[in-house]
Amino acid sequence: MFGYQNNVLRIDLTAQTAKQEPLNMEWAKKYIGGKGLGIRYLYEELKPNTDPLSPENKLIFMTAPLTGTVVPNSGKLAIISRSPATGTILDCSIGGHIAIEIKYAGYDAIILEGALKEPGYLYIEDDKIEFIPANDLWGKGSHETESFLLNKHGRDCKIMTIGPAGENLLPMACINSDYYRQAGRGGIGAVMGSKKLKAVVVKGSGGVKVADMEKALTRVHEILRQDTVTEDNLWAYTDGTATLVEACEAGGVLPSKNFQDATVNKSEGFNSDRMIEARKGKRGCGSCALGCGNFTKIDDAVVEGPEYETLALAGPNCGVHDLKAIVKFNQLCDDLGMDTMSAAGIISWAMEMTEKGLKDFGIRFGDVEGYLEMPEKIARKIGVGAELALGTKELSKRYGGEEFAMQVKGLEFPGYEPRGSWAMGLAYAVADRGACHMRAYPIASEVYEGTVDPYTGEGKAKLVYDGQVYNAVKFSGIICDFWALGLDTLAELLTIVTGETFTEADMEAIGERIIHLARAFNQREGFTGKDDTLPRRIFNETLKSGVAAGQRIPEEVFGKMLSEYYEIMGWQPDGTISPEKLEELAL
Amino acid sequence: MKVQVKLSGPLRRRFDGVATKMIELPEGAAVRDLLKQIGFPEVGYMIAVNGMRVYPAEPLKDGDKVVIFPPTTGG
Repeated sequence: MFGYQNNVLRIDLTAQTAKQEPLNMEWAKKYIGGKGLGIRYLYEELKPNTDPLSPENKLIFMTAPLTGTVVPNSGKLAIISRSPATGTILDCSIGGHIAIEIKYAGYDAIILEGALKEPGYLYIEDDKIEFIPANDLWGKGSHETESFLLNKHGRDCKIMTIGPAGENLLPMACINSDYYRQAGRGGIGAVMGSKKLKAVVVKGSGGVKVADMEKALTRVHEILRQDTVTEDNLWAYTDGTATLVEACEAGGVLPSKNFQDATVNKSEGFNSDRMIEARKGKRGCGSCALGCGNFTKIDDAVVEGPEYETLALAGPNCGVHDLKAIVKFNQLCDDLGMDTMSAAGIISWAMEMTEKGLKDFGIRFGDVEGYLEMPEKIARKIGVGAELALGTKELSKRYGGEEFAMQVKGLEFPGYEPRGSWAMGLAYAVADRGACHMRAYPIASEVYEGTVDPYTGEGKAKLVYDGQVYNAVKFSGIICDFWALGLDTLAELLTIVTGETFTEADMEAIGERIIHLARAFNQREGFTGKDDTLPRRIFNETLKSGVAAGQRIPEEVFGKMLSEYYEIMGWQPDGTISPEKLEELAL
Repeated sequence: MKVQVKLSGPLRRRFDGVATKMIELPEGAAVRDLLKQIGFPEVGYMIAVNGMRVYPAEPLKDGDKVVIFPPTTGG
């Protein structure tokens, strides 16, 4: 098939050797690339119960056939491993330009195995692979590290780094690229840290062969005008995800103080209007037609972002309503290589524990000074930070407060209140990597479009299933979340690029196959339907403010939604995949 | 009566780049009347009045602050 390089770079960090091997094209047809193909490789190669932080765990950088072509919004890289935060499958997505550079260096995927004995980084220039010591970089922030490597190897290199959080193996450590882009969730940066790998530098001089170049240029030109750069997608350019702040507040789903309530009429200081006032520039990833990135600067606080999740979770969910404080928090976390979502989630839990007198972590809601000290303390395990570095699930087991530890399977909540969007609650509970808004996004129908009643369990299993199928195949294409393309368009683009015929029905079948595959991985690691649940706050406590005031998700309604979801997936009533289904999937 | 209407994100272009306008409506008008007057369909957009999400049948009153949000994905 065209679009692929038919080449995987497999690197043994322990032996410091590298070899090239053909891509498994049988799997490529079934899983395309990105998320799906990466999980298929890991499922095959990882021994069950492998410690995520051991040299035996693998770190897979996976591109897709559309990567590096003229197809818009196709510049993201999938990174796959077993999560140190949850023990589940973990696939993250990172923007910037690194995916395209890997493809231009000649690879569909890079699979990292083993671990370096001393800190180092990888330099990949087409066929040339070098293992370079990085003792001097160990302990430094991501931004300083990337600047050093760009100066050393040239500004046409693309780079992934980890910060101190990754070096210290934190379950909320991320991988950075282009300074401000992150593979954020599930501790993917800790896997890189466990391999003593500070950075990956890539320089590629090749290109990507497309099956029908004339048609690709013609159709992409039409699609860009008719389907991409349109009012339905341009919110990403005009406002970016900050546009969600005011919408979520009005919809009753902007959390307040560790999800104790919804935020109402308090977003003026950090909403999209305020972000636009403080905006200094715009940026997009390679191949992007929408350019969602916003550089925000207020005095000495500067960052690309903050995105909605950070605005919500590090904002009102920590009792903070000031954009400068949130920008500073974001900047610190990025440099330390730490996921803002989980870091803020842990801090807001610690604030509630402190205020309730259950355990004094020395931090309270709205204490901006204390909150801005926390990223450094957590990432470098200083004082109380050493405990907070454990993550909300482990902390709540140790000190109590489990009913308001806002996490699923060990991954802290995104910034959407499930009691104001019941399908979102189901989406968090059944997402393959723990509480995640990127596996299905039913809040769009329930809250933004208003086409579905948010406060009922009726029809929600199908809504979540449809969203999961759509995102699973989209993130295997790989197309950015922010282009709301139809699966018929994705199938057409894959056909033009690869030369193989794909239909919309193929896309749906591939999406569903990937959900089964991720579930099979988690099942093999011991996860069952009992893990598909939510913190008890969501079942027991009603919201007091906003349009969703009085709402909770009754546990029996949640149970019914879950059962219906298992039924749609063809899983058994306890949430397990039958041996027959596993055989059908050739797993 | 007059209501203040703010268009969010790319919808601002519909007001010639101005984010906020005062719109005059007959007494007793509802959100759906406003949408019709400024050329929006009833379905597909989130509407907030005074910071709270409403549906098209919601009655409006003088001085209300209305925001119309574009459809969005992700976060």
